Amino acid sequence: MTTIIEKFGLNRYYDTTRLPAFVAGIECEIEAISKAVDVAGFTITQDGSLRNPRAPKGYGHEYISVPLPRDELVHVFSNLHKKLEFYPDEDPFSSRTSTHVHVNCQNLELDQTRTLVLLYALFEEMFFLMVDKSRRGNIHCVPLNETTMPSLYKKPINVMVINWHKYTALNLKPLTKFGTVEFRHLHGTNDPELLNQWLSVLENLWRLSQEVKVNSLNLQKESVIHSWFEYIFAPAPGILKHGPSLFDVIRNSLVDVKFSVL
Amino acid sequence: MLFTPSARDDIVRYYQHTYVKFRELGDTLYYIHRIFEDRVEAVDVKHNQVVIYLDDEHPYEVDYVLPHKSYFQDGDRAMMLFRIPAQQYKRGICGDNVCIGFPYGSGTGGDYETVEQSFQRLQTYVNKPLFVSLSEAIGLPYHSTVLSPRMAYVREPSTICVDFVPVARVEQGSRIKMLRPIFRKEVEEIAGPLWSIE
Repeated sequence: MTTIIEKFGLNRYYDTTRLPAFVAGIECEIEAISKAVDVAGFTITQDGSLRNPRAPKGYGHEYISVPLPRDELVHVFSNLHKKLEFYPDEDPFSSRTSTHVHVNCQNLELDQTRTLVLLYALFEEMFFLMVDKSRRGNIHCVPLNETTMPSLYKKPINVMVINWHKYTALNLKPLTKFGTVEFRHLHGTNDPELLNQWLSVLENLWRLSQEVKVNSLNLQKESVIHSWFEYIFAPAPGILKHGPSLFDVIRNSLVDVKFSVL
Repeated sequence: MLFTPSARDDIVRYYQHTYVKFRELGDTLYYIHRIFEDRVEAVDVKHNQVVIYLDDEHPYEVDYVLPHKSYFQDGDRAMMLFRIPAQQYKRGICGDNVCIGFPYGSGTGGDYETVEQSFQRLQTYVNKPLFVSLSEAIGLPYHSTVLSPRMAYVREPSTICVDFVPVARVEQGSRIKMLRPIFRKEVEEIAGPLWSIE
């Protein structure tokens, strides 16, 4: 079976061949930093869409991590926020900021990556329930179920990527450059527990996509969909409590994902 | 977003020449057409003007969120409004972030044709939606009729669409022939018990 790295002819950014484990990278957008410091595991860039009125150019910062397993990523994230200093009376995590997560899919087969997209799409509203409610209306994190993107779900992943848009909540465009998919939901934060929970859910999504098939039969079995929900969101008790209303919450998304089996 | 004098540049960037709703003014849509140093002027579809003064002590907050994807009835056509994920900064409705289309012809592949994003059409969208039963829809002399936020009946060739994809055909004798059986549950919900679904 062809993998993402083979299909797109990528360079390995991380030796994942011997690592069946989940690996991800994060982009932390932060404003009001009084002095940008180097922190192990991150590179720093300035971002014109972020503000820092007291800085020379007025731009905020983005700290971009190297790819790491979940626990190491949470560790370097905690370390980053211990070292940063901010201007007083400024909000480092305004509504302009977000925390993007790139999940490594280099070694996933093409069908497994497509399954990851479909499982995400099915539970998209639950992913949004994990983050600040303003994120669902953010113009740079558009829910797939508000667009016509579901018409692409029946296509192979390499065709989906060509027609994808960067500013969707799940951005597939980086598959062709890094072999990753980018989750753009999470608001700007310095909370390592929240990041750990978010990464744990994404890890479960990544694992499940290698174990199940999203097909016509499964999409008509509520028990199967419920078991997928419980598997993915096991690390998020606040989301699991929506179990009794699962099919109301995912009503639109279930319709969307049915387009994948036409 | 707080509308203050210091936020004027952002107001221009995010809202100028876009449509928004103001919390206190219900479902009326306003077009933000002029932004001055001290005020923002907006008009509704009947040209009634509202003015928001930019004031640091009493800032007005605009918290408009772009609309959900949904069908709505616009004259004799079922129109669907949906979001466009694009590199743009506008937070009110504009042609860069929202599109409106209707099911196209007798195509089977989910084709749609887009239409102009007029003020009247957008106001029709934000008004309370009217969904009719399948039996009523068949009796209406419309090109297409809205059945639910995601479904419409298209007169020619008498199909039921989910979004723009025909999933069932309405036949003589209160019968419905499923073209895409995976959507049987959705069709059953809008058809009700009087219809036979095959």
